[in-house]
Amino acid sequence: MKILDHFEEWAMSLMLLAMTTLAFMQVVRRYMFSTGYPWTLEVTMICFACMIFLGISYGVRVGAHIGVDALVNLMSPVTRRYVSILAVVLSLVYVSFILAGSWTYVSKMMEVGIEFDDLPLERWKVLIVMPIGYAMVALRFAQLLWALLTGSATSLRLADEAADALKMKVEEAKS
Amino acid sequence: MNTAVLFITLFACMAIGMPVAVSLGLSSLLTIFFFSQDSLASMSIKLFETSEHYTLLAIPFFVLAGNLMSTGGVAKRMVRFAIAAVGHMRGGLAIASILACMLFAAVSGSSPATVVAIGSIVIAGMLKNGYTKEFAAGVICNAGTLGILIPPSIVMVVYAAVTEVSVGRMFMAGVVPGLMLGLMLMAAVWWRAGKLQLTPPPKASLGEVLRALVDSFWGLALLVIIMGGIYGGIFTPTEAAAVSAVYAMFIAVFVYKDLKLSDLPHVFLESSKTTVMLMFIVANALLFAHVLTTERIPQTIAEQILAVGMEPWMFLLVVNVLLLIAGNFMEPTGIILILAPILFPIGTALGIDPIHLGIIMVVNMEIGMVTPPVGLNLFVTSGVTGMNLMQVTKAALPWLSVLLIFLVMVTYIPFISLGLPNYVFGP
Repeated sequence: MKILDHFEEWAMSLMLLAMTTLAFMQVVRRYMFSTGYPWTLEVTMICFACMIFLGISYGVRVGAHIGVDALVNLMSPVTRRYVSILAVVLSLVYVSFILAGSWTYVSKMMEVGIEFDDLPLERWKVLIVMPIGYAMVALRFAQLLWALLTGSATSLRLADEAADALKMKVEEAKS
Repeated sequence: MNTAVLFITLFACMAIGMPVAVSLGLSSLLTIFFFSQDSLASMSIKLFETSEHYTLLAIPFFVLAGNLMSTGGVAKRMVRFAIAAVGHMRGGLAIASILACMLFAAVSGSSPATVVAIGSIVIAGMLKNGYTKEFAAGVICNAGTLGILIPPSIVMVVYAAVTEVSVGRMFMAGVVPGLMLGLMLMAAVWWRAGKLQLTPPPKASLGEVLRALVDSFWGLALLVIIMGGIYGGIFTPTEAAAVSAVYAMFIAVFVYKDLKLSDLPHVFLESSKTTVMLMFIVANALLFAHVLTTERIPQTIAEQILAVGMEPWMFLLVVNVLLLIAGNFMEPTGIILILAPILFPIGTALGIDPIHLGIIMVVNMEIGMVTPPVGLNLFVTSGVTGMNLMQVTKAALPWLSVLLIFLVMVTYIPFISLGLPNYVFGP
């Protein structure tokens, strides 16, 4: 579990770093030296895709996804727990639909073997991050469901942007 | 029928506290299941295609640049410059705070970030100078909303992506309204400050103004890079975003030295977290927009509206009311992503410019950020000042009227938003 936690974090951060570097280098090359590699944009987008799909599960784990909790917060703790269990089950339904759909697509692409426009790389080798990512999301939702069932959680953790913004400020003040 | 299924499942999912992204995705999938022939595989791949959307690629870079800026001393130096420039006027510190918010908004794409970065510095200063807590909190809370109106703006990138209008045009359209709203807030401060017994700080010498300007040069240069680069046609908005991220990292680590190299992994993780959260919603919202289009839902609504004989001005009134209500319950990106694909085709059918509609939506989102129960800027201001939510809401109320007057102006005078982009890029 620990390994998976670190994997999510490192994958996201490194992909962002790679994207930024690639996009910046492309601008420099194009405007200063009037050259550029045609594959840069495609690789940047591949990194973007990896960051998104490998990061969603991290978002579920740390409660980074935004939702509307105004109504849920009005409920009594007991009702809230049942409603949250329903919410997580429905989320799992969504995740399994997409997991199945993306897997079907990827396996078709494996048979056909289409490559990227500017890269000698078969498309499925990148597309596969989508089912992998969604499998990780399914795992995180399952963990959350377990926590709700056993009573160690009473609601879906949803993001609190305001608290996040302030937290960064506090950390800064400490350092 | 399909419309009912789509919207009822969407709202039911959101009401029970499911993440917005999942609610959008699930309601779209269910609608497709019951009313359409599309396969699950082709639906899933729509989500993947989000990552191949060139416009959206600007989001991670703007988020990263914003995070590097708000932890750094850029805000501090902008405040110093603003105080040196206008601090001596009546209500000078408050006016300077608004100016600082405007400057910061021009390098950052988020509104709560603007409140935290500027507010945490200036509010203490205003209190020391005899301003009441309510006055300070109210001004900052409202001025912070400029973050999403003055380009760059993440909300605008999202709007441009779902409606397929040009981001450059959208950014350009935000400039004049942003400056106007800033000036209107300043005028309101100037008027109200007369009633407070204040002694403004002494007029700064020209030397101090220049020193402050030079000191904040590196931050202000970013403004020139982004604006000049995009408008001069040197960069695409996405490239400008990438350049500003690298530039912000460079000045935060090597010039101002408020970030250590060892802090960077944390900044990268936070930025990618925000990006992923946004992109997860965007991906599912594009799926949702796809369902709307294939089911011809906006077209049907538009036909009905035209059949009833609704005038454009009435439509805009309805849009404003709808957005103001929605703004009370959801955060801006979510609202834009759900409502823009519906409102945009209807507006087009009524002859409303999509850029104008976009600016109206953004201004509504600003107001949503200072109204409870879900007003991000209120939460942030309450965190910065230590006042409770109720007190901050009350403090923000008088200034909110400025925003509302401004909303009416922007809605019914399209020239405010369209004048500049039409002048620069041609109609």
